Amino acid sequence: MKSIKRILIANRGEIAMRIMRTCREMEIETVTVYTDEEQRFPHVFTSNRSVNLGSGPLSETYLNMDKLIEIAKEHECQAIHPGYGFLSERATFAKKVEAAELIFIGPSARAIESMGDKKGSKEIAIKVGVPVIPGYHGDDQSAQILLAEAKKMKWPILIKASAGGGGKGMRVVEKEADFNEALESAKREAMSSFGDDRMLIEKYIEHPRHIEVQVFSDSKGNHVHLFERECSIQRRHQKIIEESPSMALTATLRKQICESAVKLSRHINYLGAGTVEFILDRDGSFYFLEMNTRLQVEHPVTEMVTGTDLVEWQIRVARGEELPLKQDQIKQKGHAIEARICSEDPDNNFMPSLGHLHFIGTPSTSYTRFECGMVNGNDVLLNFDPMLAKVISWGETRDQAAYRLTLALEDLPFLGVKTNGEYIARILNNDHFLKGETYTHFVKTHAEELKPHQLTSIEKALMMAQVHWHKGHDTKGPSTEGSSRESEAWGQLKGFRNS
Amino acid sequence: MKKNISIAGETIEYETKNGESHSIDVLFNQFVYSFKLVFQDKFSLVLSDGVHQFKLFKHGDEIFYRGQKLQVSVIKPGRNKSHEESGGLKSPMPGKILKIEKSEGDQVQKGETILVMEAMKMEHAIRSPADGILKKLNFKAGDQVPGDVALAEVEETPNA
Repeated sequence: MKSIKRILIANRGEIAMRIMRTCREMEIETVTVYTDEEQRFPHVFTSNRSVNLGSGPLSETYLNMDKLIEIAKEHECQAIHPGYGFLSERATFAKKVEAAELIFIGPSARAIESMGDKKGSKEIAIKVGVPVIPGYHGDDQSAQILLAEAKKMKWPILIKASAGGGGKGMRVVEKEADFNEALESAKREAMSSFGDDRMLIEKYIEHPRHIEVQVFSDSKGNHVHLFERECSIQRRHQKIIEESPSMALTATLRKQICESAVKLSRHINYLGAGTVEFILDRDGSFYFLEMNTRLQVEHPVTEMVTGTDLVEWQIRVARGEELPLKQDQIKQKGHAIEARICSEDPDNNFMPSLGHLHFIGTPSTSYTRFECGMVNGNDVLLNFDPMLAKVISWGETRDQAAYRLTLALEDLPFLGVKTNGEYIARILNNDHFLKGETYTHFVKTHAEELKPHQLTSIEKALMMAQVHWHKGHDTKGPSTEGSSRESEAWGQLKGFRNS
Repeated sequence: MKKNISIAGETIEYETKNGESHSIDVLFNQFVYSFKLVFQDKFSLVLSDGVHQFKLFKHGDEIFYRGQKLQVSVIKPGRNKSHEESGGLKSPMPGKILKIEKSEGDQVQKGETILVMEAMKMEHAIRSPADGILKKLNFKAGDQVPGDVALAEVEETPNA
């Protein structure tokens, strides 16, 4: 068995914090990296060591493979955890890490290569008998051919980057006239996000649900699943609410879909954490979409319903250990829902929002996890993903989980930036959501119902009253005295700065 | 004294009375609502109407109440805030100009893409707010632009 005493986390934000937490519990040291503008971010000061990557473009910082490996060697790490995004699904990086005699906490380069490419992975799915969506995955990438192929299917069709993920380089086209503009724009986005602008065209399923299966494999030939997650609630093709279990699966369908996922992971002799994504149609037929060869943003919902720590499993598997549980020991208990808090304005077309984060807040509901990569005083930065944090609540029932999550969101003001927090609460309280009518076009279908609430008269009066107590307003109120006592106490602590 | 307040974009007239350090009466909709301050710290305050307590988070004009974020500001008398901007042609946020689709002098239709920006790893099409002529382009492809600046000018063609 290989020993891992120190890990380089080649990532930032909440996922770096998440990985660190497990490492700390496993008595493994962590080294993080950061750019100049992130000096005051928590992933920097929470790890055992942290290394500055300067201020260059991403290719010189979080995507700089050689530099990251060099840092890992210099600080005597035994392994690199890539998190999600960035280098997590770059086969070249996995190869380089291994060539440097370090452990890549993830699957083999070969598995990333075969599953990372949407086209290649579909061929594998077809081979093992897992259904796929009809579409064009050809090498001829001329606009005319792509359009001709699109016209063979019924509009609307979907243009998708072959190397894509996270909704980048993806466009739905409703009619022929919009095709060329959508294609060009998708290609540009794909080129800048993945350095690869190959596109595929697919039949667009009109009432789809996004169902994915968490799979896990060790090096001893064990391949298991940890049940499904439903991630149908999306905006701009990016997930904002994820849950487990899915309301849409019967016991039989759940078994079929989960076993299909394991069929794939077993066939490619996968290693570590992976997610097999499916589209579920209203009639119960499901199609393989892609496999993500990394830990997902939404892995905590699986952890909460199965009582596992998937980062711990990743590290154990990387050390060469056997999976802690066999398939029949893995149970799905209760219900968990995750909300992704993004800096954006849901009432203005989800426009990203920047700002200085004055006050985040802390959720106070039971069975709730808060995964946040920022602290009060940080700035929301232009160059990174707009996701600020995740909140995950568990309940005996789905309604209880949804209610706990709503309350948790009320504890999280994120003062200083616009967020989608309240918008998510509107969804969690929506009748269609509560009935489980969750399709991927949910936010479009129910746009009218998801408009902001009108304030009642007393709430309006409350707003009129509160302006009376401006910050800095000389109130002599009961708490003002309290807080000045507090600042005196801080003042007496020499060497501390209460900022 | 009559005042105007803007709550999430809506302007409402109201009056206040007895505005002391710990309490205030709000006259609005022909009712009097009395509130007193129960607690206040840097980013939150709790008010009571005598029965119920209301917790708010607050930073300047930004209020967070029961999960809802609201911009709340008293409108100063004598200031006319109604300056209308032809929407859509300002940069929504800092970013980079990826591509310019139209040239100065071009005929443009409402909704037509004039240029494409990239911000926070996402593309945003900047579209014409009206049918008209593209009078001016203030940037070229590759330029970094700050947020909320005019990117282009479209002169609206009056309807015949």
